[in-house]
Amino acid sequence: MSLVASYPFTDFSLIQGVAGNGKNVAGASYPQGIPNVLTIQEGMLRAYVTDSHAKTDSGHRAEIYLTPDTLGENWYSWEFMLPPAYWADYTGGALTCGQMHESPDSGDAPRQPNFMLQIMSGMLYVVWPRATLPAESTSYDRFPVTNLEWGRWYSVCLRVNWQITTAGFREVLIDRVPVYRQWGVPTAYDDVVQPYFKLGIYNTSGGLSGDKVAYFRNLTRWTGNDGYQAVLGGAPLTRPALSQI
Amino acid sequence: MLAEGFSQSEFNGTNMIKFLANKTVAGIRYGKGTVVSFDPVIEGQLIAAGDAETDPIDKSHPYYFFHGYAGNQFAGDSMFFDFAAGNHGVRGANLSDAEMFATAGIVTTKAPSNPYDTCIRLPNLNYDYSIGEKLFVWWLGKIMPEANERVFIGDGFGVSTTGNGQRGLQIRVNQAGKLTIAVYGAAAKAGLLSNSVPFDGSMHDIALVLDGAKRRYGYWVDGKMDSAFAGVMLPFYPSENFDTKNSNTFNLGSSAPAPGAAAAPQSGIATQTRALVIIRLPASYSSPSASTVTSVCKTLRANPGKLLLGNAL
Repeated sequence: MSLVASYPFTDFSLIQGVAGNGKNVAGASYPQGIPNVLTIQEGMLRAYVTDSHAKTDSGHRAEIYLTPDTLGENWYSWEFMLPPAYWADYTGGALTCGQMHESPDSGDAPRQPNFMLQIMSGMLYVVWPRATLPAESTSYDRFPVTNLEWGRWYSVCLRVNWQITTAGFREVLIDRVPVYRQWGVPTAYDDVVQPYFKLGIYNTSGGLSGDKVAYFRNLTRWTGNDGYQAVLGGAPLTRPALSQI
Repeated sequence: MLAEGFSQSEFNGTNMIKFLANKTVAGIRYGKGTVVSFDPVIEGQLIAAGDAETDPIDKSHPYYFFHGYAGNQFAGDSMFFDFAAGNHGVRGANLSDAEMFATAGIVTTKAPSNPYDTCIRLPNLNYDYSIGEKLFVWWLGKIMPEANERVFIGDGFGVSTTGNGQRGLQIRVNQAGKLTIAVYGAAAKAGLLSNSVPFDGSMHDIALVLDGAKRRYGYWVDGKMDSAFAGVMLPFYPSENFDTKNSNTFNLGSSAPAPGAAAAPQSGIATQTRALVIIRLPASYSSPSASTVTSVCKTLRANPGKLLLGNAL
């Protein structure tokens, strides 16, 4: 396993691309990001979306994206925080705050991204394609994983083995707690190019979002398997053993 | 301004902290060992400063990987439920629900002979012996030994370096009904044979501790440390640095990943399990003593359907 990249968020020059307010440009060309949309503030990535922004690739978004993965085991780890002033009163549709977007071959029909992390109704959701991959469909399953507290930093770890066979697996950890684990499942579409990581805000539902700001930091990207200690800084923690509402 | 509130304790709901030293907070002096509740931000700061720790008294163990108890399960459940961490065990492709729940109060796996994949598969454990993690496994059930040694719990089946794909751990049933283990890193090494005979077709409990920090191990059978260890955990090839990481399922009834068409002994054996407990302690966590483990084994046997507390290990 190797640490592919650690993004301290001093600028966007090492990021493959930045997208928002009608722009989709290379990070190397826009190292300072997109003003007031994708910016860096005290080592953190600040993503801002509002309804008056121009749409970027068919939706309102403020996202960075990285180079595509290859088949095999990949880990992404990052932290995010949603300031209460922008989120506490939000009752609209799902907003995505991180995803692995598929890389369709020429002529492929629209498909559900391989992985999404979404915010809706004060909860955080993990979203997977409903179809057994590599079958192509836009259907999805949305699993609630935790109630969100605004203004609090959460750590996320996505570990996935991209495969079009049952050799695949996928798991998501929030604050080192496994909230979704599935082994022996295909995770990839049968594409020439495998999915790529996107981080920021994307208005999945297409409705009005109002002003939305999210902060991200400490993004790392790994391949192979150096264990949980390397990526998470410790063994996974158990989830609460008592039922919670 | 940004609110910094990153804290694992908040995720687990309401918490208390225990002071590790005498400390004055907001003008009030708290003695070492005092258990109190503050605002989560204050608690986080005290924990980060090393003045306090999350109080584990009323919490289940934070490093559970699995706690399943078949006494609470029924035909139709389909899975071996983990009520500690949510790492439910799923049936192998050729183990039916009826076969798994054929005996009330027990989950059953079949002997693997074509078709294979008749075990119960938990998610990946990714136990990391080389970095100093500790593993505690406690199992209660019935196994009838076969003519040759077989693996009944595990996730490793070789020493290949390809993607850490094969390495891991095996807990074995010796042909004489004794307990032993094999650990696969760059080298494969086997542990002692137990003196006790826990696998005779009747109900017994066994436990294993593998301590990557102190490079030692021990067995427990029916609530006592096995006499092969003479009351202390023994070194486990301390010159070997077993890299046991892998991406395999952790299995009950086999150590081979799906589809499981592996040769013996890792292909597995028929098992009947009343309860299974797995706790993986991180490198930073202190190693449990033999007497602590003995106490835990007795506690679990008395009520295998009850979660261990955070201060048990």
